[in-house]
Amino acid sequence: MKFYLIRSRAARWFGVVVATGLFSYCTVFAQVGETGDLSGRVNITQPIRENSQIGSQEIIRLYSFSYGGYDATSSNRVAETPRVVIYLESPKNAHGLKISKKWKNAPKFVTIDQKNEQFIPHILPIRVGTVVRFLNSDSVYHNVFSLSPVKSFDLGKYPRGQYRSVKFDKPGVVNVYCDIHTHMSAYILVLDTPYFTQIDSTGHFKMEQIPAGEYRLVAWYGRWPKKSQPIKIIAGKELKVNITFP
Amino acid sequence: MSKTIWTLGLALIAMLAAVPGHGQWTSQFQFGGIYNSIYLSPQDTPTPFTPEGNDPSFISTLTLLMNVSLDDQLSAFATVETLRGLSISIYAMGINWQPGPSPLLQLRAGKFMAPFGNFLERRYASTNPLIGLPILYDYLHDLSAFDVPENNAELLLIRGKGLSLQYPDLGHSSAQTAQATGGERILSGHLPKPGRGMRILSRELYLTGLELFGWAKHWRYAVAVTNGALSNPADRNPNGGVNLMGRFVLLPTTGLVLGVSVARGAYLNKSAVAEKLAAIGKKARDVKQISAGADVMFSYRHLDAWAEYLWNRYQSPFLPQNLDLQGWSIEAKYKFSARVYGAARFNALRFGRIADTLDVDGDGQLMEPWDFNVSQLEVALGLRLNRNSYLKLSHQFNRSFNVPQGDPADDINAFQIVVFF
Repeated sequence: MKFYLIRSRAARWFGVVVATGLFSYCTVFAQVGETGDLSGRVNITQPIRENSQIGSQEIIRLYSFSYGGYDATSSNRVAETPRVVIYLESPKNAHGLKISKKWKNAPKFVTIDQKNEQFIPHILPIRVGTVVRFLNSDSVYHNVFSLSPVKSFDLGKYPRGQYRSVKFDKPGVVNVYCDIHTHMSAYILVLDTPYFTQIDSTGHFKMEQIPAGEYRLVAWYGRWPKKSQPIKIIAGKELKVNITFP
Repeated sequence: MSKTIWTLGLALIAMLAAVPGHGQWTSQFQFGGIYNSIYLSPQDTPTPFTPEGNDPSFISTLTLLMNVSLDDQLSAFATVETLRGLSISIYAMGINWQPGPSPLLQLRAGKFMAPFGNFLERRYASTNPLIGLPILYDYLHDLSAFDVPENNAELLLIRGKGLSLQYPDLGHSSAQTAQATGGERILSGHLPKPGRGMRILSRELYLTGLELFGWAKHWRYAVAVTNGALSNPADRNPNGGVNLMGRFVLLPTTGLVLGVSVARGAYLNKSAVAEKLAAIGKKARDVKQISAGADVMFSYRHLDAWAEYLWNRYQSPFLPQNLDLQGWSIEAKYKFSARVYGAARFNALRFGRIADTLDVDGDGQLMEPWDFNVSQLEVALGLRLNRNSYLKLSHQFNRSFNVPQGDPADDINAFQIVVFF
């Protein structure tokens, strides 16, 4: 009787372990087997120039004893490569998107730095629910604010090394400015799809393990009209797409 | 002396044109404008708090600002303003030159904003969180640039009349004048028509001359030789003298700015008072306005605060004493949200006491302030419509003290729309 009970309990545990392993194995293989890759290149045909400067305020600041004149940082500004955002929408319903394991866990916090009187990065795509930390790395005050309907906020002034956080809980475009340095601007693209990336310095992009299916591919960059086209991801295959922008 | 200043200025421009190798010639043109329209509620009693008069209509102003960086060392600037769409004034025009790589030594020539106090650089409708200006820059007191009181009584009798100023003709009782003229009256009396009193610091404080200035990370300075005076920045040097001014600013930490300012210049219009002053062997350039001020600016999070203190002395050629005053202003702005802010400013003027031997107001006091002491509290609510525009609503509480007829009812409601680009 005692031997029978031991064997039965051990057998039960063995069965649980085997079943779990088989399930996971099947799940993984099922995912890999149901996904494909997307890659391509964005060909930028003309320079993308943005000027958010408010002339009158810049001139007033330039001649101001309190805010202007001394400017050790402007010469250190970097010319940022226009990092076009590529993202996928479900053609029918955004909530109908299947989310693969690779894309499940998006970062909860991302940072926009204010350095050399620039927002870095200038374009930031995030998922709905992400918290953005606005870090001040300059020795002068900045005053980050946005009046966008998607998210309106004013972070006030804080010194170097400190940051203020904002949670973005609605999809859409958020235009971010500095109330003191009007030439500073940034875009935050809040997306309700997990499938997004940005082009690299050569214009290339790649997204792996996208669940097979039909999507709408969108290329977006700030004020420029976005480009979109229908695509189909086939399991086990890589789709290459070239886009001319703008 | 004005010719000297102009000559120096032109010489500087010629020098710059002649100096070879300005480095790489790149041009950066910045242009912008600020439009604002103010509606003031009609006042029961127009007073020097309402320099725009009692016209309950919209007062519209367009300010255009331009800055051209010709290269790393040379830039040119201009500010043009229109009032009510009728008159166009060139408020500023000149050049900046940085001879070397260091920003510690820079020169400015032309007509430029006076380096004095911390309000002038934010006098624009887009940077002033309230609608009104501090009374240091806006209140019309009872001294004129075109006429001089001959005795204390004449001055004391027109206290509070800076909006419509006309000295009463009491005959000269100045012993000095009587002695100079052998007792005969040679003074021609006062101006037949009322004019306006002066502001202590003109709100359009742009002066013509030369300025030496410099910027470092934690301090800045400016010294200037110009025409005009803080109260009378008129063009073409009607004062016949030179205005000297200087400003030093310390930025000990981010968000804190401490400043001191001094100035000394002749404030009377020389052609208007030449005959009178000649009787006592003086000229307009001998009659000075001397000013010293301290200011502070503090910013943190959603709060901006400013404070300014001024000590000012007017020399008056016929009076037995100088005319001193003190003024101060405390102002704060707080952003409640990205679109809404509140602001308030409390400021006051306290005029020095002079002998009132005739007891002009019959109160038995033989020492009186040379103009009525005044205080003002302005509170405002600002609504940011979009990145380039504001709507402001404000109320001013204006109080004049020890007025024999009682404090006039001169509180003001105002509404302003500001659009800038």
